[in-house]
Amino acid sequence: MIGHPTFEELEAAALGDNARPEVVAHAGQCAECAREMAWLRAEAQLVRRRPQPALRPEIWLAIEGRVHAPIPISRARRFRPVLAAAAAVAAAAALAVVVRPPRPVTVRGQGDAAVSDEEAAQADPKTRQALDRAAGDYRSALGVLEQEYATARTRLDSRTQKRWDESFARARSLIDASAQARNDPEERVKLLDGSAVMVRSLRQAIEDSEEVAR
Amino acid sequence: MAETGQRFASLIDVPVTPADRTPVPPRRGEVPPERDLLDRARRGEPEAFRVIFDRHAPSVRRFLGDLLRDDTAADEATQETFVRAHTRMRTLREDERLGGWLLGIARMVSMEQLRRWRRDPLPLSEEEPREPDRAPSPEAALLSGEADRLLDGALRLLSSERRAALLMRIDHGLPYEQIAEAMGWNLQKVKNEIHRARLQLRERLSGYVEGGAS
Ligand SMILES: [Zn+2]
Repeated sequence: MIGHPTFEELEAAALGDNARPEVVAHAGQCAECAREMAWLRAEAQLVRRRPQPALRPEIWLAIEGRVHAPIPISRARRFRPVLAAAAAVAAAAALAVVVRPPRPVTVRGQGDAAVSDEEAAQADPKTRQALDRAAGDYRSALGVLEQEYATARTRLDSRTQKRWDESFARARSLIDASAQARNDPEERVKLLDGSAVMVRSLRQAIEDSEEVAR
Repeated sequence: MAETGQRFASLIDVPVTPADRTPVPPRRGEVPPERDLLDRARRGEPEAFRVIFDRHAPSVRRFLGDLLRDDTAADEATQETFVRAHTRMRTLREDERLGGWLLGIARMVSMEQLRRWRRDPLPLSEEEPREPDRAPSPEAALLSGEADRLLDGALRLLSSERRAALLMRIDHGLPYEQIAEAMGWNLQKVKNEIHRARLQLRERLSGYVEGGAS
């Protein structure tokens, strides 16, 4: 190869899109291009090896609920309770953010001197109270939405009913599980986050259906 | 000079693992297997939309996690992205690729969320990344957790738009043309922004990846 390859040729080779042999051969002999390619590869490796975040099953359930199941609800009937639910959800979400316990550093090998997250948070009744309150808010928000759903349910086909029943059951079970994980605030926050996603998406679905009915 | 070429040669030989969550862009002339899927989804087949979700949700969720840096917000934005995608499926042009199109919607959703946060800010930890204390060899640097931490800090310092463009390129493997489409920029702006993002990244990582050289 006469002269240096273009940046895009080097990049394509480095990212594995299209590694032309003459580009790779050139970089093997040219310090400047080798350096550029090393950078491009190093960047890509660092960026791509970062852990893949988990995909919560609630996300799909929520999408399915919103996409396939508009519930026809009259504006007048839904207006107040859904707003109330929205307020409760917002309050609970804010609370969950505020009370999310900071993770204390646990040094391995310190034995009895080490303080685990669990013990640290257990020692704080305020955290527990705040989490109880958040769970209560979610439960009441879900209750409001369930009332809305109950009146519309009979008008839905059985497949849609099943999907919505499952979404409500899932949201309820997450809140229940968070109540049972009393001694593990990290876990409780995680479960409450999950139920927040469900409750908000159910609310969204009801609001979407309102748009459709308009 | 030859020595420098040698020094980087070992890095060049390391294959960059293509992120398998991102579908490989089909070669010219080949019928993308997604076309058929898309047609079925447009006709309202729920199973087809589910396959699209399964295929693309991991990269959409990852991208949104990078832009929003908050798990709950990224979960909700993923949900919103696919709900919008479902309603806009018909607007997708024949020559447009699903992956880039979805990341474009995800970017819009994330911008709306970032705007909401600016109006009503949440307390976010803004820990300034530390500079490296020493400069190990490129190979060692790549293996060290310190490089990952520095990268995370460097990404965080990029503007969300620049970060989005850079990650579309190196994390999700989108070609420049698709990034231009997804970002609503012209091709030159995409190249400039990604170039600047890379310079910023390199500045942060230079003590590591280059062994303190240059
Ligand atoms: Zn060269």
